[in-house]
Amino acid sequence: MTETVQTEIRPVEKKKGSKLWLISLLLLVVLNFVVVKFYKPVEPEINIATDSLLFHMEDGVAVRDPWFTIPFIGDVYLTNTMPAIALVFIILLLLAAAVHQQTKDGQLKSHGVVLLLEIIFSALTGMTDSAVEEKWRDRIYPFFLTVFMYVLIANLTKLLPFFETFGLVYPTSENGFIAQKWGSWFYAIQSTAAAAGQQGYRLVSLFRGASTDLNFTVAIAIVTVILVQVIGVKAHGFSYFHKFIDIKGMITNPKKGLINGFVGILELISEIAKIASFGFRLFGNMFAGMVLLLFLGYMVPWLVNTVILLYEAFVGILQAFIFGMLATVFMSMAVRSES
Amino acid sequence: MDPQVGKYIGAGLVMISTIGAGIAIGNIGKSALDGISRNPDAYGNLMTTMILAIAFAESLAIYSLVVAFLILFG
Repeated sequence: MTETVQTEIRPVEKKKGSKLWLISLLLLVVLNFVVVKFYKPVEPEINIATDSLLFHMEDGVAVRDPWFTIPFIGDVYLTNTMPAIALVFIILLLLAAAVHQQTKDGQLKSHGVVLLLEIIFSALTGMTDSAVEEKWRDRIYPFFLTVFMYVLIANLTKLLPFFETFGLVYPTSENGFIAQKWGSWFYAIQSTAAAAGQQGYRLVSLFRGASTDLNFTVAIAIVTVILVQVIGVKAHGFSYFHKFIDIKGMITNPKKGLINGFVGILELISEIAKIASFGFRLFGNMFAGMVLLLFLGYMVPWLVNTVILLYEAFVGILQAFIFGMLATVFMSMAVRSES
Repeated sequence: MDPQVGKYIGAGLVMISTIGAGIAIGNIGKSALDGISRNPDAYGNLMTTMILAIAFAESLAIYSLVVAFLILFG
């Protein structure tokens, strides 16, 4: 038995002016070569710790000033990831405003960015539906999608052009670069290192990707792990903590209780390890991407960074998805009834 | 010898641990391909689980990358 497959053949519509993108692409490539020829890329400075935007000069060395001081805890610094986080908040608020604008009349028709969000969210929840019990979806999904959007926007804003390259310039006495004065307060740092006798300058970037700061990732990880415990307690009541230490079981059945005691210690360690693995996975991926982009932009400044930017966008989306997905899986494991 | 040399050798040695992550990711991909070729309908489910498992294996390699960065720039 054979079946014939019928395919509709549609006439391909030829658009006029479809070569326009090719011409603009070629122009951008030429622009790339010309700019690199006249303005050589500056060797990047990689720091694990973030830089403070408030500092004063002391004998040619920048000393950072605290932003404000919380009593008994310590100084808080205005680091250069904070403007980036403010940018993330602004984008999220604009998205929320767009959703509100289109859904306030109660009709289920959306267009533009709201439709995109709808497609993303339905795809995400479709992937996790098999892992989460139906009863708990309303409680787990809001957190999952919130964390996904937050981490996603934080990862993607890292790729914006003015990140890591635009900021405050300060004169330094060691390891500086010479700078050209382009305006009364506008300096352009050059790629040649300052020789003896010349005034060297260094850059403190105004923006740095939010998820390349360990504080950001570990903070979200701690919140996630605490919420896993909270949702476990909500599902099982106080008996959720019998997973860690079961005093009643130890008294009634000492032999089994002893083994359960060791298992409880292991469970406790695994909860702490969750924080570390959540935090370091995101931080490591994003920081490695930042280093890759900066060093390739310095060493091979022709066209290669375009491909790496695409790859980094993919990694950013994947890491945000994994962060939210793992939080969902841990929460659904916490609410699962043990029989 | 320049003490800087030790730093670079150390960073290189740390990255040996990516061998383990490489083997793990290869195994995961192989098993997922086996599963998909036996049961092509389960493609969606297997793909999600595979990406999750790869992320777990990859995070171990990322830890060593962070340590190498700490040695080099910290």
